[in-house]
Amino acid sequence: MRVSNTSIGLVLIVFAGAVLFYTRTFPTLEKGYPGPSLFPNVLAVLFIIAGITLVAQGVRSGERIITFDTSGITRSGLINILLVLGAIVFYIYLSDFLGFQITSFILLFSLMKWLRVFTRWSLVMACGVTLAIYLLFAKMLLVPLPWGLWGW
Amino acid sequence: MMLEHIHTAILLIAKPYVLLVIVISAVYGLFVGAIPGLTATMATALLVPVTFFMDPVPALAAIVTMEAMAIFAGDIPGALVRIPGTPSSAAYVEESYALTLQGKASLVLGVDVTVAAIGGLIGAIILILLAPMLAEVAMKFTSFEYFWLACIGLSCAVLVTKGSLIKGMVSLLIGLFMTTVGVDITLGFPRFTFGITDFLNGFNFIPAMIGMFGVSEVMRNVSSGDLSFSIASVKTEKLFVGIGKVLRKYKVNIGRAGLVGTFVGILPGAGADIGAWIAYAVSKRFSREAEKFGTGHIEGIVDAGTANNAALGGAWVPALVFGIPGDSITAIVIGVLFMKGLRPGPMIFQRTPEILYAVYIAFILANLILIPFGILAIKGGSQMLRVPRNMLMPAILMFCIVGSFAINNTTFDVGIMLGTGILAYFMEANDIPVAPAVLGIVLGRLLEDSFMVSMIKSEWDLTVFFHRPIGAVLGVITIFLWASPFFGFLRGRGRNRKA
Repeated sequence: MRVSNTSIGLVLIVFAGAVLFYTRTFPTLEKGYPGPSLFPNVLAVLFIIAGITLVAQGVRSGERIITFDTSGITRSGLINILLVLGAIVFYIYLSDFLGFQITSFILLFSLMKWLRVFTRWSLVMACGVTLAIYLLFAKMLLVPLPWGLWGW
Repeated sequence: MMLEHIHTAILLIAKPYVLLVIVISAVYGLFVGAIPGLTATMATALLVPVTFFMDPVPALAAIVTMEAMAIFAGDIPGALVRIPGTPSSAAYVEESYALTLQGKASLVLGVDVTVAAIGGLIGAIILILLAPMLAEVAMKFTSFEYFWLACIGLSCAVLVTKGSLIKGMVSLLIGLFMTTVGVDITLGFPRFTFGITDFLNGFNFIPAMIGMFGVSEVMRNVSSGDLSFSIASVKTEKLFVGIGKVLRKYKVNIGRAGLVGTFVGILPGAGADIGAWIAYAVSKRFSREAEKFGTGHIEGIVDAGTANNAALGGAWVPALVFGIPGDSITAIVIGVLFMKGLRPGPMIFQRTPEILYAVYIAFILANLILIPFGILAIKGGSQMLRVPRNMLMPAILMFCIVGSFAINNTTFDVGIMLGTGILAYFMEANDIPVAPAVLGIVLGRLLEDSFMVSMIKSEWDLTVFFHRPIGAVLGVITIFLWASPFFGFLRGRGRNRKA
């Protein structure tokens, strides 16, 4: 998923502008020497320089300001990516409630099924991987994975 | 004294538990390296949540072994399916595949594993000889020198990136900016935390690395519709036939590539992949049969295959001596050592030399067992490539999630992983390299803290950075590095005008 150099440059400039504006609320050291805001501000100025250079390069090469090139990626590929991201969000919000085992099984099974693994294999792998991760992290490394519904 | 340290280190490594960890990491490294789309850096990021709970010696031995195996194993799919297993094998993938088509796959892979082990040993020996010498110098460093060192490291990371210099700089700035989140050193003021307490200590390093190298890689893999390969078959019975002849013919190449690889590895930001490209180019430049390159000629493979494994040892030199990572893998290692309260730098040479010697021994051991393990991997190479990626990717994703969660037991870190994963995916899709950002994340705090501390000590007199002789030299090097792109630009202009 490519965007034009010009738009990357513009995003950097806007971001840096917001940083410069926001850091004005930061306190300063004694005698007015810069403190917490110095480093972010220096970076913001460098972001602006890089941004202007990218915009200049983009304009010189005659590219359109807003391009959003998805030619390198198929429609199903894009859906796959969104599902992967959705799976992470699902885990963040539901793992506490459902517990690790159930969440992991649901995510693995549905992702594998979507990626066209046979149902039987999806079931076996979803159970196997969940068990392996559980044994490694919860049993060997003593990470308190959430129990949730599984713990009832 | 030294013998005593070596003895202690051998005792630390020779425990059954550590040896078991080494064997498991070896298998893991071979597997990850041999699967296209999974890189050695990703393997490190995924290994870290597990090693985080170990003692330093097994943890470091695991990473050293894993990386040696993974960089070699990247050659296997290069020869069999014409896809490099890791970016470090990309330089000679066409050459390897051309030889495979001539029916010489077993010769290519046999040479690959042998020169990988030799290259790895050259890198390890240079590491062992060079690191203590540099550490003597580093003992004299103060916050001024560390500031310049961080500057040199970061500048190198931008200058060595392939492609646009400006995009390398953007990447570095993104990494540096991420380190400004959290409590600042001068006043303890919470910056960019927006009231979220989880942000007070800054971005959690491990979830960020898992996001940047794990999640983004999974996204890239599932985005291509086709998740299977067609595999060339290899007859592996006569794996080592003809290798002696190749090694004898190209012994000078091996020595030269070992040095080139190690040196590139030492440069911050440049690792095994760039080492391989440079060694391949050098090989072609000095070859008597340069016209054969690209048509299935083993010479370039010998050079590049030696250099990428040699670069691994090189990258540990600045990492151990100065705490400045030589590549993305050592960047992750340094980040983790920091989290464990072990600050890499000259002090570990004095305080915990046994850890250092354990790293040395792990390097030598890893490269010695590379040959038997590598042979097994070559024999099983076709099978490994048949592991369906549509099963593998969900499993890796789950591992990423749990690995991120495991460090602080919070789903907030899983969110960090998600955010950095998306960021890295977009960066790579737009030719913005990720490696400078990682160096920025690792070195940002060192850079800011050493600058602010120096400034407050000297009451904001900027010239103090040049008062001490070592500092002045490092400062001049830094300024020279910053000016170098402009020299290149001016020279290019002059040439254009002449033309």
